[in-house]
Amino acid sequence: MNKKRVIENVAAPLVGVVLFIAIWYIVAAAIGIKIILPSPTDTIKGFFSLLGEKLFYVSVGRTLLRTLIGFLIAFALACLFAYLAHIVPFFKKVFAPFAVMMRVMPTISVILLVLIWFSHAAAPYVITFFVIFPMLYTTVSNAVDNVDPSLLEMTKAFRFSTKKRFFSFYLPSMLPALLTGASITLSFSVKLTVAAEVIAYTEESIGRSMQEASMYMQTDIVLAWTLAAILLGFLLEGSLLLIRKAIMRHYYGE
Amino acid sequence: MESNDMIKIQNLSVKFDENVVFDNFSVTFPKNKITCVLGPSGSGKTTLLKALAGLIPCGEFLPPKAAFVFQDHRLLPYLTALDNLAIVLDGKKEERRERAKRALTDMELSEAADLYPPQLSGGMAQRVAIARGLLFDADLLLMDEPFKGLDLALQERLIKYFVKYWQNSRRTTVFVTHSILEAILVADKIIVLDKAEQGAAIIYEKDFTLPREERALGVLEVDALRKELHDLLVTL
Repeated sequence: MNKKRVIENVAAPLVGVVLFIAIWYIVAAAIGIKIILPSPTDTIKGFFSLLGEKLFYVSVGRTLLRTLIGFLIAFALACLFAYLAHIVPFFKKVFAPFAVMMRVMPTISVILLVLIWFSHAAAPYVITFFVIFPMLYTTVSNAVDNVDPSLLEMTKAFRFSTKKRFFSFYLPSMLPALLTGASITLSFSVKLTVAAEVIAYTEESIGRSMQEASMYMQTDIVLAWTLAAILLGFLLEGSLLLIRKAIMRHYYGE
Repeated sequence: MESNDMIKIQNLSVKFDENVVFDNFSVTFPKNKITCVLGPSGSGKTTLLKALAGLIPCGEFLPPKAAFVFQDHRLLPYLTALDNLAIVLDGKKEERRERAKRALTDMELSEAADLYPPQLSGGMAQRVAIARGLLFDADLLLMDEPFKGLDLALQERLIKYFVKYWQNSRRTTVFVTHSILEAILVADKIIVLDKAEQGAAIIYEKDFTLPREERALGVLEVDALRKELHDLLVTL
């Protein structure tokens, strides 16, 4: 890395973080009441105290699992439905109003209805699925519909089998859009799952632990759990970025 | 559909909405020869190729397996030149790559093997596309103005390449072009299509037997044929 890139990619974001923490310190000191705004030191102390508890790892692990399951089901079904819509235009027309409805429906309505209709344990999966699915469906649908028609014609002229056409043409053509869509929705899924856990009071979850800390006015602990959720989001987004890089290198030699 | 020395296309019907492009159209292509198809825009030249390749529905006509060289190269951008060739073949990966490698070497394209299409010049990419067409296992080779939009010097070079490597396989070829000169340089047979109310019709058909290496401007037969085709095409 040359000097300019070091400044742009490392130093500049670091300045942002330092600035944020400094402002946080100043505001916390000005307010001076820990239960309203604990200082960064209190939050970090809270975070390290959580690290000593077994419940922390179980909760983070469970939340991660719920996020991934909800996301993966939504992703798989979005791919399936988008492909069906692509090859059967009638199906696309029939499904269109549902897709729009799911997309514009207020998230809170989804949460409340899911709490009425499903068990509290299932709520985080279902909520994540319902909110993420229409976003992914739109992304995948656009990706399938926007494959290069002249290249598609070439695959037909050279009699590509369905399998070859999918793996050598559709998949690599759609990958950039799919992976971008996935990385945006995956970190959004963490937020949704945690929100659903708070409202459904799901056992062994980041959401429930936050809710409990909030009831006892342990603001530092709420922030510590928030930090955990943020780190989880980073972890997922980072992993997906690495996967994206590996896949793009495989297909595009980039 | 096939006699011994002809590929015969019969009962080809193609309609786009109310527009009849072909109605029970029949044509024969001499086997192991290059047939050039000339004609004004909209006379159905490209549609004929697409119908022959089975890319558009066309009545009871059963399209034969055919290789296609398009106007643009249509190489998959995320595959190397070598893999763009290997992918149209069947069989074991190593064998396919080996055949693809040989095809690139034949076309003097070895240096392009590991390059991706965006890294190739227009002429090189089109040569890879021609190599792909020649490599694909099919009895029929369809070419749709493959040298269109390239500069004149490059066009001439590509025509020479094409003819040279076509001679190795002598595959039955249908070559659509707007250029009279191009047709005269490559064709064994020339046909001219024109649009009529009840679908396209062949209005001119001629075998051209002068050896290709003798074909050049200034040669009597070439100039005569060029004038004949020119006088016919300007009236359409």
